[in-house]
Amino acid sequence: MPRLFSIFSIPKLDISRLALRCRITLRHLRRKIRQQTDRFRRFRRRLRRRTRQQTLRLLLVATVRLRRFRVWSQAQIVKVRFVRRALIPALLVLAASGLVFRHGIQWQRATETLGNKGILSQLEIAVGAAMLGVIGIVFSLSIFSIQQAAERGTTLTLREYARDWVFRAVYWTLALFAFLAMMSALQKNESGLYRACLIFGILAASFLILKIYFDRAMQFLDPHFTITKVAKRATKLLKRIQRIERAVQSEVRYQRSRRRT
Amino acid sequence: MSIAQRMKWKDFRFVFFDRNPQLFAAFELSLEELQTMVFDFSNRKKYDLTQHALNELLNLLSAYLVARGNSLRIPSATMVTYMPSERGFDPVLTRQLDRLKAHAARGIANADQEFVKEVVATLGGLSLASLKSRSYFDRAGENSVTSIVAGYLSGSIQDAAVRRLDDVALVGADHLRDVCKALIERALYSTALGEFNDLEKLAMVCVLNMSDVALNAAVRALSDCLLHNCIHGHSGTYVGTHLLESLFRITHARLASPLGLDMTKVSFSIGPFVSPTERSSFAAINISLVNGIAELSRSGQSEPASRLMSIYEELHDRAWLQFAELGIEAVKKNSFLLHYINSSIEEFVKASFWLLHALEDLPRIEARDWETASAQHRRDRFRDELKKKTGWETTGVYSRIIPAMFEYKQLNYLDDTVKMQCLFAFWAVRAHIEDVASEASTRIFRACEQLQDPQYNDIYASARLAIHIAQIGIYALAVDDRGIYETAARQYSTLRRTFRERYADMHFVGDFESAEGELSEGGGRGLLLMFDEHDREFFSTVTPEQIRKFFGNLE
Repeated sequence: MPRLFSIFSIPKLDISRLALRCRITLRHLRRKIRQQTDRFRRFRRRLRRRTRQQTLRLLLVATVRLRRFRVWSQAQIVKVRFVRRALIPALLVLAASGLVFRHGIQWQRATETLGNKGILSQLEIAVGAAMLGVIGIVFSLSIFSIQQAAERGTTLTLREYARDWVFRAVYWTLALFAFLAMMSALQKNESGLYRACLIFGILAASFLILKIYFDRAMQFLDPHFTITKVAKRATKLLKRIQRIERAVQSEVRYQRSRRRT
Repeated sequence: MSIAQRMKWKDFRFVFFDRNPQLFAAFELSLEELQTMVFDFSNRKKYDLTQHALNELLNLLSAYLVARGNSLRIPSATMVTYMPSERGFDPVLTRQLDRLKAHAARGIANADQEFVKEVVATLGGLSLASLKSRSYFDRAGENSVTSIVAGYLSGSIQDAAVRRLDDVALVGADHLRDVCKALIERALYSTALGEFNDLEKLAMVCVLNMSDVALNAAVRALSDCLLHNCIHGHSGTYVGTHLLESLFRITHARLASPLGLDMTKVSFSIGPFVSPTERSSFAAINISLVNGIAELSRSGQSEPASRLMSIYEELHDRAWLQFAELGIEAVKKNSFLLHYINSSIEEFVKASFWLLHALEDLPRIEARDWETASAQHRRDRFRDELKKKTGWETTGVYSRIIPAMFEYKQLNYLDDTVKMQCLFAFWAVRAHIEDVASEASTRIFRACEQLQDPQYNDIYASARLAIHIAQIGIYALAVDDRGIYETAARQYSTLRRTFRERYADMHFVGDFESAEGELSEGGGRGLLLMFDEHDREFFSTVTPEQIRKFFGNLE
């Protein structure tokens, strides 16, 4: 038996046996390939089915979650109106901050130039004066809405109107804006970008505040709102009395336990 | 150690709130603002706004009552009577109630029914909410907080009723009924009695105002309370008796009213109490009680059955006498009320006989321990009591009403009344209560005897009604009760003989011969044709042979 397989050793092998072996191997290979193909097809089908199922499930989950979120957010938005009012300005502020961050250097140069020419200071004074004008307009409109409220409601409606915290906040905010705008005009030209941002911020916020003022005035024209407002205040006061009572009870218990020990 | 250190928390809390009224100043100010809004909006007739403000007031005052539970300074009835120094009332509550009362008074003065109804609804809601709170001066069976709030409520309703604001009276009666029911459920009987008095006052005001619509609501409220007491209450609390007395007093007052009580007016005024078709009438309550007793006894629940038995006994304690007095008054006035009284008595006597049979059919409770022995004893005692009361409610009532008919010469309802005596006799014979049957037969006999007197202008009636005695005799023959049979036969023979002696030549439809003939032939009629209770009972028991035998054995 030669140690190495060579062509010369073939005749020594059984040719027919070799052929048979090759055929068997080929058949086996073919079957294996077919099996693999089938398995792959099955896998592919299963995978497709699973993908479809998962997609559907994800869609369903997403729809349900979205619906839940929508309901929750609606409820929250309805319940806490402040959020609804604060969301849009916050987004606007974020967008503005992003823009400032992106184009800060260019704008810095431009505002410095404007500051050197005195245009920025003029703009700030103009905005401050406009704020004062807005306060005047708000007061003028208030007289009209107060007349309406007095006709529809009672004297107490007027009192509620007068001591409403939203109206007070609107007035003081507008006054603060006017003051800030005027103060901003006295700042150095190096901080021109911040001054410009402040001025545009004041302008945007004043629009929002006017909207809040308008909504509140509309609510006060409906006497049901005043009734609910007074009732809510009374409920809060009653709860405060209960809190006082609980505090007194705790205090009495504490004093007694201390005396016992 | 100081007094404050030794105090219990309940006492400390009361003193703390009592000595620091400023704690509630801001809260009261908000309430005052709401009250002012109610005032302003009511003047402008903006009812949706007044309703809103009053609802908020109701919620706030309810919350206040709950928050001040067990620390409210509202003296009990005893304290008010015997300790005048403790007469202080909770200032916040009383001021607010006074404001509400003032609103109601203003609305009543302006005849503004819609607004007064809103105020009354607020007071009604507050009365119900006050049941969740108790006064510091608490007393068993009483809630003085509810007493004071319901006092304001009933005061406003009565004022409205006096001014003939019927809508307010109707709504108010419903509110008072709800309060009374809640009080009965919580076993606050002392306060409940006060509220029943208020309802009675309201009914009396309606009688004086001749307002049957409002009277109907007040009577319905009292009847509903009576039914509610039978379901949730207990005997020995005087509630059932008190309610029944109130209802009878109201009925008497309405009967004495110049409006009169004709066929239509009875059901539209005091119908809820006397009409058996009403859900909370005396007859309907009795039927419910009887069914309850039978059902509970059958299922072996002796404790609740005993409770119902006691309530039944309490209800029937003096009812027969009150029905008799009412019946006599109705006879005097020749009122259609007598028809309703007869129907009511028929219904509850029938129910009593049914209950007697039902209790007798029950198996005896084996005396295993003292509880089972006492349950059987209670059942036996109740059965004896039931027999006694049934006797009073048949004999006691009609031995007064029928003579009154002759005394006041009001014989319009005599036929029906005599027919009912015959029915009672049938039931009594079947239940082996011979004295009731015998008394019924005797009453018919005496009535027929008196009718032969020409002063009553109805000598035919004597012959026409005498057939009922024959029916009693035939019925007794059918159930083999010799005593009643002989009594009835003797009485019938006597009547027939005396009538023939006095009016020998008189022949008419319904005379002795024709009535006997009709009765003999009547047995052949199908039972389906007999819608009358009396005929059904008679012909379903007797046979034509027994009828012929009865008439054949007469002298």
